[in-house]
Amino acid sequence: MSLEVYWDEHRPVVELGGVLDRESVPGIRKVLLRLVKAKGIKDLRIDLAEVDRMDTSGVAMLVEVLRVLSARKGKVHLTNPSEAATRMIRLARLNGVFEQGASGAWAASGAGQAVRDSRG
Amino acid sequence: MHSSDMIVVDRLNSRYRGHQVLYDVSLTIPGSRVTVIMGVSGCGKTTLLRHLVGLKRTDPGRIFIEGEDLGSFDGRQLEDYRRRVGILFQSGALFNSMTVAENIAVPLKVHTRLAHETIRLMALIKLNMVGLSDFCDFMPSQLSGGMKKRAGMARALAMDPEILFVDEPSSGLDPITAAGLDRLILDLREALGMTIVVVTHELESAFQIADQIIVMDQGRLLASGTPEAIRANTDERVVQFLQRRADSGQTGIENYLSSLLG
Repeated sequence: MSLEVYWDEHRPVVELGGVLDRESVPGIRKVLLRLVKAKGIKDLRIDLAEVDRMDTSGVAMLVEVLRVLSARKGKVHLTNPSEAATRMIRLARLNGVFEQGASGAWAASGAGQAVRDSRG
Repeated sequence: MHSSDMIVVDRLNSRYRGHQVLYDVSLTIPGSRVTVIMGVSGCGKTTLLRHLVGLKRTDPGRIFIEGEDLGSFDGRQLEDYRRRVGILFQSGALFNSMTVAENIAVPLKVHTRLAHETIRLMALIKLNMVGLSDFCDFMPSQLSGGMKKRAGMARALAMDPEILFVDEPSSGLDPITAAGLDRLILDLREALGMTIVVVTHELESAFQIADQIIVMDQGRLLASGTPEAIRANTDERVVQFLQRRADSGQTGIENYLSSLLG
């Protein structure tokens, strides 16, 4: 499982890759919650293009992140969800809950500083 | 054995206190497919299921799980195998002292390092899958039989198992709720590539969900194939089962008369 965080116009972008399951979720969850609980964070973009497999624990983790940001009237944008991630989110009947954004809207700036926080 | 076979059963025999209930049963269960095992009550299908989930002791060389001999598993291997499977028993088998959500959380608390909140959300997601999201704080005694069955299904799915074994999922359910569970089984196969084994005698459900159907009778495998192949099967007993024709009443007549008349 890999996780990278970078900033795009003061908004955090998280790229997740690999397997998001009950083995990897505890570690990823800690990083994400620390990130979203930081002062001033309202919106978060999570890119799921490289997620090969995801189970219910991965979905539950995304919901937890959403709840933190929703309390501040913020949003979670899921971009480029892989087929595996899409199927799991649909199976959990949450496809209407997350904002699914096209990658172009945020990736266009391309000038964001990369803050690498890789977990393999 | 093909590489896609998840489970292989080779000439399995089984007894309860000397009474034989399975006779040389051989079959394969393909991975990421739905296999339905059908047959009249008492044909041995639940006994077969108990062997497949490791609840009944199996002799070595009879059941292989992805090529590994279930009958030769030591305690740790058996525990590892059981962590990979989910089981829905006919009665649901919920713990009566816990709420529905707590029941679903049990395997996650025991076998994972997931945070309490993650587990709680997973339980809610699973309950929503089976249409019970409004009942997470109910005790099992407050549920109908059908609702207990659905809660049992949610618990069987708690660990997102690789292999799901389901014993009579539709019994006690109304047609609409049963159709919902059928839909869920198909969604699980699609979304997670789950290998699913369903024991049932509900014909409509079986033909709706099965990739492979196995028909058993009196402890023996009678027929095995795609739903189309089973429909086209000309074996008298298979045809009788599919057409829901009652026995003539003459089966076992000699023993019956003998017991009456001495």
